[in-house]
Amino acid sequence: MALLEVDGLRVRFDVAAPGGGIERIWPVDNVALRLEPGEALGLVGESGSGKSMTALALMGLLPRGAVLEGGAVRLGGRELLALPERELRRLRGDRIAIVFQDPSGALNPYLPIGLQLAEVLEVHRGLARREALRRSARALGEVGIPDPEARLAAYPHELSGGMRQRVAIAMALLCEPKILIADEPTTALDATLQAQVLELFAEARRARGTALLLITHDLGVVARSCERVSVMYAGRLVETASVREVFARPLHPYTLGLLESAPRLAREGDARPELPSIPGMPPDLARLPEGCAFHPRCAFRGERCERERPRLSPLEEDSGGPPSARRAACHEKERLGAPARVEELA
Amino acid sequence: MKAALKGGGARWALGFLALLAALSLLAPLLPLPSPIALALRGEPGPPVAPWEELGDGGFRAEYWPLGPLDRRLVELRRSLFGSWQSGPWLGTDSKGRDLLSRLVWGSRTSLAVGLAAALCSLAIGVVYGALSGLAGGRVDELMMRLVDLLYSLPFVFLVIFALALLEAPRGGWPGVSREQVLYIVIGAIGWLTMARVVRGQVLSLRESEFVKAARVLGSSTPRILATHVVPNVLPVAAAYLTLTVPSVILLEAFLSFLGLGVEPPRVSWGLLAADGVAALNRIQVSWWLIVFPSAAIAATLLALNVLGDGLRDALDVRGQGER
Amino acid sequence: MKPPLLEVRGLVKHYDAGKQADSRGRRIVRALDGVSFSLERGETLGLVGESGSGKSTLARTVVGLEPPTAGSVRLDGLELANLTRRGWLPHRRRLQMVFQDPYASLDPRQRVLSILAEPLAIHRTVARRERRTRALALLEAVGLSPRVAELRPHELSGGQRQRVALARALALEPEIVILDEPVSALDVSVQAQIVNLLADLQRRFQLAYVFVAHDLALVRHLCDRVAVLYLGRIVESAGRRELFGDPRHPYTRALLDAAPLLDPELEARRERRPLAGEPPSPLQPPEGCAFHPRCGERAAVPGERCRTERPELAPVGPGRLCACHLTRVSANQALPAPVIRR
Repeated sequence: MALLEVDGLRVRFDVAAPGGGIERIWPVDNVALRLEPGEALGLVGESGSGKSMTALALMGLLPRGAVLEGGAVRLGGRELLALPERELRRLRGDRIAIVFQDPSGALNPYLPIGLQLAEVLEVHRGLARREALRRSARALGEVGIPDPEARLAAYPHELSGGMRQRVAIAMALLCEPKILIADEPTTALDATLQAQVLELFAEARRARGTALLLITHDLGVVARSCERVSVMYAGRLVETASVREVFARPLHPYTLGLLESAPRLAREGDARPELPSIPGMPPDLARLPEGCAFHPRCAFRGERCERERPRLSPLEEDSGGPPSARRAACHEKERLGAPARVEELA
Repeated sequence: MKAALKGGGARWALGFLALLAALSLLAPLLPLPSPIALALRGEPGPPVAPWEELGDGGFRAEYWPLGPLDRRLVELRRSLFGSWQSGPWLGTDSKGRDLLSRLVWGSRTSLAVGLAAALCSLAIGVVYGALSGLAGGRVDELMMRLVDLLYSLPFVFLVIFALALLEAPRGGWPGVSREQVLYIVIGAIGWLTMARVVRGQVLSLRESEFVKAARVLGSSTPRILATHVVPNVLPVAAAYLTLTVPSVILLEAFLSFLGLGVEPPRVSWGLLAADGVAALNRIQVSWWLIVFPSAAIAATLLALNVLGDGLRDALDVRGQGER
Repeated sequence: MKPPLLEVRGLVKHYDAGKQADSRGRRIVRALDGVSFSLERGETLGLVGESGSGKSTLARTVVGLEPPTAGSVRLDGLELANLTRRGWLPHRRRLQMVFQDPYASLDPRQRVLSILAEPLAIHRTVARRERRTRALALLEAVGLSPRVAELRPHELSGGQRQRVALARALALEPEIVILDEPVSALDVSVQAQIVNLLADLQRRFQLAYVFVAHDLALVRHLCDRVAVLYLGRIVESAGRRELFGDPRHPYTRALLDAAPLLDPELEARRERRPLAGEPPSPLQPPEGCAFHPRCGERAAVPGERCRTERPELAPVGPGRLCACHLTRVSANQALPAPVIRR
């Protein structure tokens, strides 16, 4: 039994249509995930793919207007979606923690960070203030903040962006959660800071065996930090596999497109060929095409793709495997068996 | 844009205000009793429903000195309706004056005051605010300090002070009438909020990237003003205008209520409300004398506010067609 | 010999940031502290840096949005640095800019047609009745349908908006376009389209680009030469091959080290030399070499030179410059191996 099991998650959202009236969209449409203890899973997609909404749905933090239409989320066998808010609150911060893109959102600008960290321990672990502060200082040190005891008294605005993100991570890791969800944690950061933050995650996983659900649009981050990856498009899951498999031989044309269109640092050759790009634009969730959501932009489009929505299914060779095995939602996935696309340095 | 004034609320508001404006303009034409004709009875008369007393033929054309257009309208009314006038549908006050007529005639004052404030706001407020925002730096600070100063003046004292200085005493120095003092005071403070709002908009627009892009293209400052700043400021200004007007109407009503505004024989809603309060006593409650004027003020303010919201939404280009 | 198309020398830009805490005078933000580079026709120069490096300030100053505190900017030999707005006018037709945020750089109240006609109207390059035709031609050049002309920015996607911004920059037929992180705000699948479009337009119209970015892979794909900025100064500049194949400055190496590779195999085998600390604040630049507090190779330089003496940009090879005491010390020694091992 996996640490986190998500099946058939479906979230509906009603938006105002431009010409008046209401439109329905499904930012999360039948999403399934598996996360083993200590594993790092990347959830990849562009804006509008539904990846952030999925994370919020997991934690029971859906915004107003979003309706959970169905699905199951099990943490260690325990069904989460049906839990009352009180129970969920006990789990949040304790068993599951989340780090957002903008650390300023997680930190109260009017309180010193020491108090905010201590609060987590006081609430979830019942510690006394002094002990909580002591542990908070230690946590700050572990995320690489210099002079942690002195820093406890600092207010968030006195710290730089990179340090605030570290404080947010420290706060998330305080109770040694089983799962850390990170929603675009490095998108707003410089490359060198990004490397540091990813290193922090790796550290946390090594030291505490924390599982990581890393939500990002950046494939490079996934290649560095994750073992498995699920790709989302238009609210739907289109591919799920180990990171090595996906980068070497993607099965879904969208994944292939993403990989091909990213400029490579480690690619040799002086000639600057055109970057292969995915034609068209990310779809409007209120106007999804019939059949496969990606087919209007797909180079491998077949006749079936326009009519029938493909299901996330394994390759022909490994049928009936557990859901963590390699799967792709594409009618033409057999055609995508192309040789490895990554060139090594000569 | 008109089509985009969506939301039934804004449409109703617009309709109501249009009706009010029409009635107000055509007041002399309407078959109402004179607003100042006295019928001394000693106590206010309660409203009488139209089906009970539709009207009578006792019309007397008594008014304060009217302008030529109004006089024409009165003549026209005479020829249309003869000496018929409507009955006391909303009641009468203690001096026998018809409340409905006074309300309609009083709307003229309120609307005129609102209009004056609106024009002032636009003429002075927008220009002042735009200049301040564009100038920036010390000049901007100075200009806004002035606004703050004016803001802090308690307007009631200001009015009293102005009245003491400027009002025409009986005989001697010409001075100005109370009503004119009212307009001066409103002109002096009605533009303040608009100036602040416009200045804020201009400040943020100045830093916006599309203005910078226009600079890189080589656009001159006047051109940037005309092409980029003004079109982006106008919607906000328009929306705020519809908020300025109600507050000014309320101000006038308040001042008239205190006796510092419009004087009899002229009528304003504030004055009517004052009359209503004065008529209160323990023996008899002439509710109509308070309820109707207050309702008129409230309805008009509400309509203006709703219109303001609708205008703001309709003019927000971004709100349309966005996902 | 002909002067380069664009030549920037010793560009300095300081901002006043208010009083010092101990009222010792004013606090100064040294956004640019002496930047020099040149650009030839048809060439693409990449300017790479993180936040606080001054790359955006550099773009804004070169294009004339802000006057420099000191230094010179020459376009074909003509000095631009302290021109008045009016003085700049004729040069606007040769030097244009595309901004980072496609959502903010277009006036929300203007229709696309008007946006594209605006530069034509300002410079009167095209008669009024011809402007529409020209605007439509521009739309076509950037791959947009003529239908777009009637739309307003909020009705377009990010990629479409950026195309409009590009079309607007091209309206005056410039020779140089400064691109300030033009694809950072776009979705990944759209970035490649715009990058291809940029390359295509460059070929067609013989444009020279100054490409400001933080994404090294993108810079590598698009640029002929690259300059790396740190705290308002160029610390290394070289041709593409040299910079990426044999980076000399420790900061460049750290950037390459931090850049993600889209290959899990290589990532796993990669040598990590993480950079400690944070990008410094331009309000309080470190003494000596601005990079020294974070530099992992300081020990290789004898004495405390990195802490006391600021290294100047010096040639370290044909067409290469580097500002580091290390490179001069070890000019003849074997340098630490490049970032990516087998």
